[in-house]
Amino acid sequence: MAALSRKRLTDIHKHLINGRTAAFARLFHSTRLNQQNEHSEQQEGEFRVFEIEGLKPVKTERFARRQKKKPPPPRFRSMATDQDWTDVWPTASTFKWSAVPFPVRQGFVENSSENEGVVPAKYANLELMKPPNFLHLTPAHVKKHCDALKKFCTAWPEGLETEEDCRHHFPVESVTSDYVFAAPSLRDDRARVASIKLNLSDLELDYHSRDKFIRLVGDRYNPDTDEVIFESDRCPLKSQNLEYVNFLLTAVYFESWKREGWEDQKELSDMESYFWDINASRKNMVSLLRTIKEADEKSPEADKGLGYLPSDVANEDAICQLEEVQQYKVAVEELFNEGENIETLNNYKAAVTKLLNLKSDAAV
Amino acid sequence: MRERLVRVAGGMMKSLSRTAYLCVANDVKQGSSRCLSSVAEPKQSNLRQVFRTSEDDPRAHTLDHVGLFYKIPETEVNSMFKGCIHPWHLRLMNTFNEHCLMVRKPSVEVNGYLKNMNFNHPVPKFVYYGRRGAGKVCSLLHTMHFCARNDWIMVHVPWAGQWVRGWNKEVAESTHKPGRFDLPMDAAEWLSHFRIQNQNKLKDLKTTSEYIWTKREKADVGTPLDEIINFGLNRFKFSSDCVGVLLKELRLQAAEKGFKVLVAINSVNSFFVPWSKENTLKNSEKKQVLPHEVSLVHNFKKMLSPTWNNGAVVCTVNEGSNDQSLREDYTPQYLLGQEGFEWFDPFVPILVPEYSSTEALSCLSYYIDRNWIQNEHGRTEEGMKEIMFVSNRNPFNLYKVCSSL
Repeated sequence: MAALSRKRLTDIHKHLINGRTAAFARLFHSTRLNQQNEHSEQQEGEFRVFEIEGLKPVKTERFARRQKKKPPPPRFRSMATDQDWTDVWPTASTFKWSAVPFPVRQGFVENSSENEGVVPAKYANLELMKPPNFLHLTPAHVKKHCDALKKFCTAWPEGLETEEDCRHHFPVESVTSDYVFAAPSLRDDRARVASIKLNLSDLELDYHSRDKFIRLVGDRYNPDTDEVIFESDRCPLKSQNLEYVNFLLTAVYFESWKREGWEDQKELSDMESYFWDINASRKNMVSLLRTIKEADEKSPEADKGLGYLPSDVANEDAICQLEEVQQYKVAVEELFNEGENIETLNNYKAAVTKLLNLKSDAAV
Repeated sequence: MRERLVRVAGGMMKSLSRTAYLCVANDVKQGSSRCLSSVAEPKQSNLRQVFRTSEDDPRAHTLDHVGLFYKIPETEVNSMFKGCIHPWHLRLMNTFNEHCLMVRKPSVEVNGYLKNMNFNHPVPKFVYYGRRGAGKVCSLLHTMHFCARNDWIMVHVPWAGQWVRGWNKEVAESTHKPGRFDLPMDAAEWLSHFRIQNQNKLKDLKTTSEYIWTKREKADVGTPLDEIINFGLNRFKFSSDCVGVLLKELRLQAAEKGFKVLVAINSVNSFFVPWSKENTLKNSEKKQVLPHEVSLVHNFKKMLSPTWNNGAVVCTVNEGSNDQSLREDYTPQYLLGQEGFEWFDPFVPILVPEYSSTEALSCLSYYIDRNWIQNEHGRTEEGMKEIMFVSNRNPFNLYKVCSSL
């Protein structure tokens, strides 16, 4: 019994193991097949049910993906407010959005649909990377540079503290340029140009010579800044050109002090500005005042005559030295030299009414 | 009483208040051509801005009247002001059925000078200048009215530019002096203008020297000036010479006989600046005639020199009379040029500005009163402000803007 039972047991065991392996093999086919089989096992003897694909939710197994490593947050988020900027941005470099701690936008948005109508911010913004930036040249950088260069400098000369002092002690400023670049030749044509600049007021000139100087130098004189600039590129060497502009200054200066014979033939139309004393206005004025004086003597009218006129009007210069006439002269010269505007015209009007003693109740 | 009311109101208006006052002048005839249409009366018919003064005498106008309209009598419009007012302005006045001028500061100022001046001194000269349409001519009219009421003799040139231009105008060699040119028609026209303006003032004036026209014709000493004018009008050939004689006699006799002369020339810069457009004057050789070669201009320029007294010279300068290239500025020295300035110097330049807001308001109220502005919006305060803004308060622009409302 025991032997038989042992044999049976082993058979059963065998059978069981085989059946198990068969079941495992079936399991490996596909889940759907498995299901069908299960189904068919359930409804044995009946028709197989046709499963429409997608009608019932299908459980699928997914492989767990490995998590991607997150990029670290941009650097500007963790910057301290009192950090040393020169350490962040030590040298010139392209714009880096993550290192710049301020919000900045750049670019063109064509219409409201593009980027929701907002100018792009700094993140991955090419328009910010194109132009050169000066983030490496902040005051802190400059200070560091200066500190580094300080040991090579000498003390600033005493007495030249202000610009005005410099101009006073060194009135002539010469400007030359050197050009350094990588090329087969070291020479550059532009390096020969030399110029000097000075203020006209620093030269010792009287009215005539100043006028002649300005006429001689032409457009090299700038009346707004009172500067004269001589520039030369006619000689091949820088030193030659520098010598030449110095010569020009000397020559023009001494030439303007000369008075040629033909200069006395200057006529009214050649005058650089309006001079009342040599114009018809003065002659008319003197004769008018004389006529008025005559009339006043003939029929004196208190308050309506010209009280300021002297008793003797024979002397023309004495008339012109009167205060009223001088005021009138200034007004006329202003009218011509400064041009007509409300102010000069009102000055002229005031001068004339005072000169002729015209009064109106309605005048301002 | 009424007068006082007006003055008080005028004073209040100077402080730019925009309150409506009771209209003082109620002698206004509502009979303009526009009124004939069936337009409803404006709502504010009994409450109006004060824009009129009953003071019709320019001699009494002071700064208190500035910005107010005064009425010129019909008789004076047909005598004194005949041919003086701009055609557009005259048309407007006729439409309004009355001839009103606004009293403005520049002319009040000049009238003040004329009131206080010393008539023994050589003639003072005043030049009105200002932008186009600012009212230079109207200021001149006011001054002329002032002088006419004072029984001055008017020597008025309505537009000096007429004497240096014209299509196919008759230009004759001067009978008085070779090298100069006469404009017989213009001279005759001016003579009749002069006669109309100075009716009843020339009776006692006679010539003081002999004038020989031709071998057979001459004017003896003591010929009445009326006869000289008649001669000029009958013999066009000598009309320019008659003008010269007339002006010379006026200059000589002004002091002796004690009458006063006002020389009023509109756009006097034409006397000094050559006109070089196509319609410039040409002589028989088809050469351009320059202003100083025209005998009329020559004679009138003598009136500007301070060689005579008992009179005054009041002129306007006008950029429109200059060549296209010389219109950039409206200031007197620029427009007169060097030569003109020397003729005038010393003169008193008087700026004629655009309307102040008070004046513009007064003008608009006047237009509304005359039913010239019929658009309902134009009658409101907002509308008035808009009109003032659009026209920049320039009187002529204001008229242009309002003429379509």
